[in-house]
Formats: sequence, C-alpha cells, structure tokens
Amino acid sequence: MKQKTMLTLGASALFMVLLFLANAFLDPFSMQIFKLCAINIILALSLNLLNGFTGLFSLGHAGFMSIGAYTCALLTMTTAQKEMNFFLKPIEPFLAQITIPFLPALIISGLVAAFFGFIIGAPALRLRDDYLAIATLGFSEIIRVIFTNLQTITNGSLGLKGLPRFTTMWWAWGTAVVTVVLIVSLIHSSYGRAFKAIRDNEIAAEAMGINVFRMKLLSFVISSFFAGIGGALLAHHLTTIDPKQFMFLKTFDILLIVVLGGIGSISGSIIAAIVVTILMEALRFLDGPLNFIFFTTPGVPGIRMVVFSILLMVVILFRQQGLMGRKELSWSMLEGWVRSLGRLGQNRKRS
Amino acid sequence: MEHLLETKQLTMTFGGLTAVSDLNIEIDQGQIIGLIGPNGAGKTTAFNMITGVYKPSSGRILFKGHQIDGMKPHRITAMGIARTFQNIRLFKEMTVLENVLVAHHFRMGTNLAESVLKLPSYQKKERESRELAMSLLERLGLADQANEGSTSLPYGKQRRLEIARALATGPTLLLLDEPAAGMNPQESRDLMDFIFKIRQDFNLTILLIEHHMQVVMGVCERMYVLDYGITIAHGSPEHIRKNPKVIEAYLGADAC
Repeated sequence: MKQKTMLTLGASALFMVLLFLANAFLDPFSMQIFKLCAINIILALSLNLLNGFTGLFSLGHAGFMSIGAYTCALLTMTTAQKEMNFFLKPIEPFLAQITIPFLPALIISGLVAAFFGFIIGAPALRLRDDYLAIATLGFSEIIRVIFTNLQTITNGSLGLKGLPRFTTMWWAWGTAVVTVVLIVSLIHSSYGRAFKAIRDNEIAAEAMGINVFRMKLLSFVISSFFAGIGGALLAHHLTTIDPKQFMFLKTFDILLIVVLGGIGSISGSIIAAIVVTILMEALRFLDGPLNFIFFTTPGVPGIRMVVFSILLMVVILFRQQGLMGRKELSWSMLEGWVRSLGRLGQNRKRS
Repeated sequence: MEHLLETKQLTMTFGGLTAVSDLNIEIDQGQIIGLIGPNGAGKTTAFNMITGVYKPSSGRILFKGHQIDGMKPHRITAMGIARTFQNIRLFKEMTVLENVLVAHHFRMGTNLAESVLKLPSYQKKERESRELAMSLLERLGLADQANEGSTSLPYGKQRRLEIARALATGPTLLLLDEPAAGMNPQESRDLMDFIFKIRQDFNLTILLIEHHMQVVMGVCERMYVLDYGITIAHGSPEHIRKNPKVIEAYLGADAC
C-alpha cells in the first residue's frame, strides 16, 4: 500500500518534470497539440461521466462547449476588441463594458454551461437511451442556431476573433489535472456509486432509495460544467470561435475518444484523448497528395476522418469495450504486465 | 388497530387488461404473509404498485397510516419498504460490498461538495457505512466474497445478496419476489430458515410472492391467492390447501 503511494508520488513528480520540459523545449506547433491533448482530456472525461458512469447516452456536448466558449470570450475580451469584432451590429451595451480576469471567467463559463445543462436536462432526462441521445443532439443544434442568430451578443456567424491567448500549457494541463482529480474523487464517492447503480440497473437503483431523476440531472449538470470549462479553454486556445465549430462533429470527436478509450474508464479516456489528438495531427499528411511510388493520388481533404471512422468501426467490431473496458490503469495492473513480460522472457530463454 | 400495510380496492389496468382488481391486503407488524397464484395472476404487479414502480389505476395503499400510492419508489424505500426482484437485478459491474453500499447512499445524507472533496465528515460517514455493510454481509454469510464481482457469485448467493441489499435500506416491511425461484428442495428449505431468521434478527414484516407451495405453506401465517388479478382466496395455509377454488386455479377444474 505504502509502496503504491510512493509510486504515485513519483509518477506525479515525473509528470511535473515532463510538463516543465515540454514548456521549455516544445516548438510552437507541437505545443499547440500538447495543449489540445489536455483540453480533450477534460472534454472526454466530462462526456464519459455521463455516457460511461451514469449510462446516459448524450450527444449534446458541443452545445455546452459552445456556451462555455462564448461566455468566457465575452467576459474576457476588452471593450476595444469587442468593438472591432462587432462591426455589422454593435454589441449589447452591458456586455461591451465587462472585462474580467481569466480564472473567474473560466469558472463562470462552467457555471453558465451547467445552468443550461440543468434547463435542458430537466425535460430531456425524462427520456431514455436513444431518445435521450436524439433530444440532446437536437438541443445542441438549437443552441448553435440561436448563437448564429444572436447578432448583438455572439456576433452571429462572423464569430469572435482575436480572443486573448490565455490557454497556456499551465492553464490547459492544470485544469485537466484538477478535472481528473475531481471526477475520480466523484466516481469513488457514494454519489459515484449511485451513478453506477443507475447505469447497471435503474429499477433496482430506485428500489435502493436512490432518487434516480435527481442523480441523472446532477450527473448531466456536472458533465455540462466541465464541457463548458473545456469549451472556454478551447476558445482561448484557438483564439477564434464561430458557431460552425460547434456542430455535431465536435461531439463526435469527443465521443470517438470516449469509445476508443473505453466507456466507463477514466484512464482509458485520458490515454485515448492523448493518442487521438496526436494522431489527428500526425495523420494530416493523409489529406495531402499521397505518393504510392507507382502512382500519386491528389490531395483529398477529410481522408483523415475516414481513417478515424474506419478505426472506430474496427474497435466496435473487435473490441467493443475499447482500450481499457471499464478497468482503470493501476499499479497492480502494471505490475501484472511486467510479471507476464518477465515470464515471457524466461520462456524464450528456456526454449 | 392500524395495520402496517393496507391496500384498499387496489386496481391496475394496462389498456383493456385488468392485471389486478380490488386487491385488499392487510399486514400487521411481524407477520409473514404469502401472495400466491399461477403465472400472470398479477402478483408482481401488486408488488410494483406497493413499491411505486406503477401508479395504481385506482384504490389506495396505506403504510404506517400514510397514503403511499403514487409516491416515487425512492421515497417509498425511504419510508421503510424494501424489495427484491423476481429476475435478479444486481448492479452487475459492482462488487458485492458496493451493491450493499449503494443502498446506504440515501441514508448517509452526504452532500456533493463533501463527497468530492473527501472532507472528514464524509470519510466518517463512508467508514461507518462500510462497517455497517460488512457486518450485514457477515450476518448473511457473504463477507468472504465482499470484494468479488456481484455476478461471479453462485445463483443462490446472488439471491441472498439481493436480500442483503434490501435489508441495507433499513426496512420495516420486506417484499420478496419469488426468492426460491430456481432453487432445489434443499435450498428452498434453507431459504425458509433464512427468512425466519432475518425476520427475527431485523424485526421485519415480510410479504412473499412464491410459486413453491412448500415454501409458502411452511413460512406464511396467512396468504392471499390471486388468479387473473382477482383475489380468489385468503386465509391460513390449511384453509388455502383445501379451498376448491385454489385447487381449480392451480390444477384445472377436473382435479376437484
């Protein structure tokens, strides 16, 4: 037990060193991707809390991300920046004056997203399974359409440009670590057990005295909160946002990570978030002209996504539980792997 | 005297089908009462109404003098009615201990902030809850498997875990839905002893649905017999055994 605590402390220290090294030596392009990994971890965990631990199939993540993104952007941009953006129609006067620091803005964006999660969840969570998925998908599209048309608040389809570049490596990874700690702690509390009970058997959970509807709503609100935070970080990472970014495809990106990592596994989501984010960039060459020695294909933008779709299909066909299933990466698991590797080595020697 | 549980003209219709009609049950503190009848007689429907899964079409349910029909299941559980399920409904991805701990959640009274931040107040409640759950598992002979997955238990123990989980909600009235289903005669006899024992130990009142005549006749003081949703007989086991209507319902008219 003590040994494992030491290992965990050691791993945390190593992780800190890694962050320092990354901050010092990564080139700007790699840095962008490195930060995106952290943001995707936050988004994947918030979706996994809902899909994996509470068993609610929601497809409305992009909507809550956009709420967080816009809230944070409008709260932190200066009056001058806002004036530059809103050249078609002026911004609402009360919004033009507000400029607050990043940290409170980030928390407020989470809270606003959570508030909308409550408003949307209260009616939608009376539905089950695929009906819930369709309802949440619809709601996220409604949010997008509203954002496109609220010219004086969101600047409509022109979007917001030139947001302050607040999402540094430390902000991104710091928030990701806090998110991981909070969600793991939640999962391991009596609330987490109640969520899992609802996922495993709703009727039995109800018979055990759990207020199923309230717990589902709670899970939905918490998930929306972190989606909002993730959206806000993303906004200040890209420094440009417009409603088109938050179409259904954005939800699909996150869903892909959750499914690949294992629905119901925190460590699976983290690993998959990193792997998928890096692959999305690393496989960018697929979009350009490809040279197969004998012939050359012209560049087809979007081939990358085809590869990912195929990957997803392969996972669904051959490893439905994803990378980790519902298991978590733990020291005893690593120990088991090392042991079996050792045994493999010994067998080789003997033969 | 006020009954612990009383249903008055309890009726449930699904479209044109009347699953239960005019059910009048009276149960007093400490009794073991049976609810029997052929397949599709409406026994489980009656359970579902009492525990709030269904809202009765008409009629009333009184528990400790309070009207509980139409209440949400979790509120009814909090008032002191616990149940098991005919087709076992354990939390499959959780351990035996966790299955019991889930039943403590509503009694722990923790708030979200203290649970997530693992404040000392939460840790104290969590520790107490775990101790309580372990002692319960020990009393029911499941302590050795506490950290195993609930579905890895043998069938009989899964049934026992369902009962353990129901007891963890701290009930005064326990509803058992076919606890002996799929058990051999020896296991059924053990189950009878077990039911007597938990009634004694936990100061319970028990309402039991059962197909195994041997089990019901052995443990129940009184029983109600349903057929096509109608109460065809009611009384002591000896009385029921001789009732021609019951024999007809179970064996067909020719057997009389």
